[in-house]
Amino acid sequence: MWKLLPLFLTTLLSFGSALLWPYPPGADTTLRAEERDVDEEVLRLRGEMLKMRMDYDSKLRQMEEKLQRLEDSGAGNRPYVRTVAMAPEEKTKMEEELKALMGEKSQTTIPPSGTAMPPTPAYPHVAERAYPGGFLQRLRPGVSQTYNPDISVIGDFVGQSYHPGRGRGDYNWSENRYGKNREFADRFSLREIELGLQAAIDPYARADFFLGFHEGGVEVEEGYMTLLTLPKGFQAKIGQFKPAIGKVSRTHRPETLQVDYPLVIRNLFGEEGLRDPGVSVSWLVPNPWDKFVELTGEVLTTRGMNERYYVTHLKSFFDITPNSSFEAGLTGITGRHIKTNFEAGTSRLRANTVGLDLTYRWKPITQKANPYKSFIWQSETYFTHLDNIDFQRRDPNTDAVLRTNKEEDSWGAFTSAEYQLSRRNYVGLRLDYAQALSNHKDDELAVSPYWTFWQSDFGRWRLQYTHTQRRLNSVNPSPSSDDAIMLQTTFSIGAHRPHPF
Amino acid sequence: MKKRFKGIFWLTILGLALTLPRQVEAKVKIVTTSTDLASIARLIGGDKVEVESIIQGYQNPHYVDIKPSYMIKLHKADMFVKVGLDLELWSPVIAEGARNSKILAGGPGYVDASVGAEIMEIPQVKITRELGDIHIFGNPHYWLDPENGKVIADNILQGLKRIAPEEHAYFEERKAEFDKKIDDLLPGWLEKMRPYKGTKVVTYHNSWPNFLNRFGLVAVGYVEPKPGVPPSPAHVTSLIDKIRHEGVKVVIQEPFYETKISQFVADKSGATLLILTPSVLGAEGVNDYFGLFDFLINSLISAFQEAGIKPNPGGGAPGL
Repeated sequence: MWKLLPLFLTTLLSFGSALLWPYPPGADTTLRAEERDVDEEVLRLRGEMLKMRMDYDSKLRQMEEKLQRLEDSGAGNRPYVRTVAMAPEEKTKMEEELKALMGEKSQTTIPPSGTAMPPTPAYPHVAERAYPGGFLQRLRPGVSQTYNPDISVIGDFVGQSYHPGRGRGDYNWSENRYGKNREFADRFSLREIELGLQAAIDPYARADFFLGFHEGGVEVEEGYMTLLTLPKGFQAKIGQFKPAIGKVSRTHRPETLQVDYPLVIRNLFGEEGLRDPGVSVSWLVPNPWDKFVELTGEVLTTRGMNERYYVTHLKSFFDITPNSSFEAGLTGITGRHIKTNFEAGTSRLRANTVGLDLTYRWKPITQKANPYKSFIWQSETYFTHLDNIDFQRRDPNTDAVLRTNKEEDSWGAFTSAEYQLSRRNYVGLRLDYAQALSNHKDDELAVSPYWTFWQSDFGRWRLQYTHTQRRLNSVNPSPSSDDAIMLQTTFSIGAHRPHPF
Repeated sequence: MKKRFKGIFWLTILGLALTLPRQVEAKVKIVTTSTDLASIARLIGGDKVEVESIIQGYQNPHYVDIKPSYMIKLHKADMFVKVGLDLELWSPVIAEGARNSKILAGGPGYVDASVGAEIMEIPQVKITRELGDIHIFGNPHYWLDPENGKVIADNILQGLKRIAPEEHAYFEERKAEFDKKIDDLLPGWLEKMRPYKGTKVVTYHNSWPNFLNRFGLVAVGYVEPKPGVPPSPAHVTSLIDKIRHEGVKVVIQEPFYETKISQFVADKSGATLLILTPSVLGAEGVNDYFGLFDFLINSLISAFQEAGIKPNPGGGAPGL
């Protein structure tokens, strides 16, 4: 046993020296002072913890007691409890607080770990924190195919046989519309392939894209975002869209009731109607009768020109009976919106236009009537005042360029009626009248009976005959006329959203 | 003079009092697409709700014109209940036109009644339109099974609890009553139909699988060759042949389809054409969801009896 003592002492000494080695002489006093500090700190923390624990325990007890009281009061046994709804004032206050909170600047510094967080953390904007960088990074690559938009493709095939009649007037109108190599020439054409991509962007908005593939190439028919959750009955559209002009011109051409747009629409806004980039705001006007009244205001840029035009549209809709309804709309347009080829180098003319559209629809939903009957009557009229415009056109006899510089008022209208004969068959008639924009003494009158057959909801055949008469008083006093027979086949695949009427 | 002033004073006070917002307990405004959902919503919501449906009971729910007046209905609604499963393809357009974020998909007032219901005929293969108008999420006529009625009621209950949490106990109690009533009535309905278990029928559109399945009837064919596709002569003749061979005695059709082809089928095959509404308020006396099943079962049994189908009291396929 004693033999081990020196070993023990040596070990002790070596350990002691090892412990004391790093410290310079006099270090032990500092060490002791530090130890004292640490001890004091530990004691203080211990005291704080004890206090916290007592607080916590008492709170817990209070809650348990409260719970017990609630249970004892037999609330659970009553047939039902009508708990108190949040008071409106409290709700408003809370909402205000939250709004202020959400409006605050994003948090830029994060306190060091171990720091107790204050009870009111600032809310950082989630998307900004989670996905720094550009728009594409935020699209989160790899999300499921389920998020793909609804895709639809509509093919619109038109075959036309055109017969120029007596005294064909070589007027710009007819040349543009029916001349060789034009859209309505004497031939078959796949007039348009419309590709639609539609989906919700997020809980606040949806996007609709329509691309038109024509023989000439691809064109953006429409591409816009609709803000769906604006307050007070507002809704807004931003992008390129068909402006709120009447009713027919807003419908895509493959989906109209006849093969082509009415003459007045084509004369004023071009073969395919207007579509321009801009902003549209519409408001559901509250009224004491609880009827649908919608006011739309739009500002659009005239494509290809650094110009604007403004559109307002007031739409009202009434159910006359459960089976029939009536819709009336007023349109006002000002700015460069008239699409024409009258003026060389200019695609749009400045004008003021007012329009009226009326639609009556009858579709029985009562048990007694045959469900495969319906009737629709649609009429629109437009009055246009063209500002002082330099009109240019070629005299057909002398080939000289005729110029006129004047203001001009003109008007046009159409009325159409369609009746459903059976589940798949519809017949209709459209009457067109339109004055020439450059000279109101020149006008066209057309009558178009047609027959539509739906092979299913996704395939449609249409046969239309159009007889047009022109009085081109400014060129040639004798009237001219022509006839056209059109066969349209429209077929769609994919998920196309139904259109409101 | 003084009197006149006094009169004017009191009249003003009265006028002001009339313009003050009256403290009326606001009811939860529910808009449903179909009358069946409306009936269940009324049963769950009781006098705390106001319910309106967009389509009538006798209307075809597949095809509904998107009228702006429907948007007005939804503009003021607190809750929008739909059958779902793409039955109402027209409904999103109406909902978006309503400018009411509460009822848009994902909003607190948006209720898809199909969540959790037993859905039949969910396609297991790639669907194309060659197959007709197939619903990619399964057959949407699931409300025709009373057990699914409970699920619909539960979806509506959850919606109501989101909109009016202060009334949750009231709604929950009514939901429990609804479930109990279904539990009380269903055995009676099943018992009534038991003697006709296995009876073969032909329906116009494939809208009855849940009903037929619950009450033990069998659809051996449809007048439509494919869902949503109008009948063709070749299909109709082969169907008539089938009806003759299989001994089908009853052809069932909804009131919103043309009857001439079904009548032709019935006449040529010796079967009876039975017009049957699949919805509340689709026929006289069908006033609520429970009444719908009373009506369906009574109409079927009397049609079976008229057609000379002998009931088999022990259940199983009845004799002729």
